[in-house]
Amino acid sequence: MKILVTERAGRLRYSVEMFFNSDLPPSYLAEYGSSAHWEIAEMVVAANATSRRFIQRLTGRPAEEVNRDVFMGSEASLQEIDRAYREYRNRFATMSSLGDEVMARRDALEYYVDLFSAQNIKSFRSPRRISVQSLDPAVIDELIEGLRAATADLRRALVAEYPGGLSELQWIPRNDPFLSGLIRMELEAAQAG
Amino acid sequence: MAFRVVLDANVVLAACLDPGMDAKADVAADVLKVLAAEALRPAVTESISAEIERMVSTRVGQILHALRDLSNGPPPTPTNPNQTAWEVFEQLFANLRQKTPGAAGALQLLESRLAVVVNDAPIIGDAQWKILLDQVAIETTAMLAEIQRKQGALGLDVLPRAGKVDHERFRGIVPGSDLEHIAVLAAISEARNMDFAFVTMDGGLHAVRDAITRAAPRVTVTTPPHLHRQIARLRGKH
Repeated sequence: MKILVTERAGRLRYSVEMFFNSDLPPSYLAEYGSSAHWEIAEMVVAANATSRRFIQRLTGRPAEEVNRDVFMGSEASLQEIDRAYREYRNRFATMSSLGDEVMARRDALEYYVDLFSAQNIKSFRSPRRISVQSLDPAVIDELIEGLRAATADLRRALVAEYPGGLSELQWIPRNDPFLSGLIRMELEAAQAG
Repeated sequence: MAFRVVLDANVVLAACLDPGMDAKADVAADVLKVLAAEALRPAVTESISAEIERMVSTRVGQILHALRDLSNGPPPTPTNPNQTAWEVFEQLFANLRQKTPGAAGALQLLESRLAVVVNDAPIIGDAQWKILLDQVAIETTAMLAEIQRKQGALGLDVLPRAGKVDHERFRGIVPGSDLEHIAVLAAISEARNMDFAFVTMDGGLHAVRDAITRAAPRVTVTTPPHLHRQIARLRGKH
């Protein structure tokens, strides 16, 4: 899990560099970044919550009280173990398929920009200046829209299935002045109509 | 249940602030408490949900655009002994403001964010400046996700459009973007034969509530302090 999260964070940094060296629309980085945060949340929150539920179901105790011996010594029947495992696998697969879709859409956007703007294969995946003129803006817009929609689907599913885990997660600290300043500004704009 | 409580964008945004740090956040938290006590799920129209997404995304985009401009320029490092880092920093933002006059709010936010760092320790060179800008760019995308998370945690039902939306009925009565929301809500109320209490913190919109109810009898605009009473009224009606 740590390796996956580190990989996503590394690619986000690469994408920031790519954006800074380009004239890509700001929505490119906004959607790329927020989708990466949500996909990481999916990996962390869904995996934790699903595993905890599985452990609790088989041992009857909260996951934090269960070690390997307690888990292996579960008195649950084979039928119950089979059901619990299938439920665990299904829940995990449902949520990770939404995360995979987000990743696929983000890959499509990133690789379209990086590959189709490359003069030759050597410059692909290497930092350089990228001009939108070398690309089709309509394709970029379409890919951004697809990424936004896939992220929205993942967000809805996480909110519905794992509200507890999601409420514990924080990308920005509570009362952060940058964040609260942004919300206040939008609030004023909303008041002004 | 033949009535719903719909929140205006200003109530949703205020609810995304932590209670205790802003008077409006406390008011919005009270709205959610009332709804929870009444076992009612708050709702927004699709148009309100889309407006909030658009507003936040646009502002985040403006901040990212400004960060890119800064990354393509020099760091706020004095170039002569008569200059301070603060003077260079201020000039960088003056230049940005001249270049992008439509992004005043975003620049103000970014300036405040970077000023904290520049104030703590002067930027010593291009590499350090670039690392800082990279970090703030990632943080900015995280802010977008964080606001989406906070909004998700409110448990809002998003009401899909229904019926025929007639903006003309409310033109000249309802100001600004609320024209769209009220017209959408009126159409849903008629198509689904449902009453709506529309909670807003916008005094201007509340001031025209009678005219709105005349044009759309099943839509009642109210403010947070009156929500409890409006719910009681609607419960009595149904």
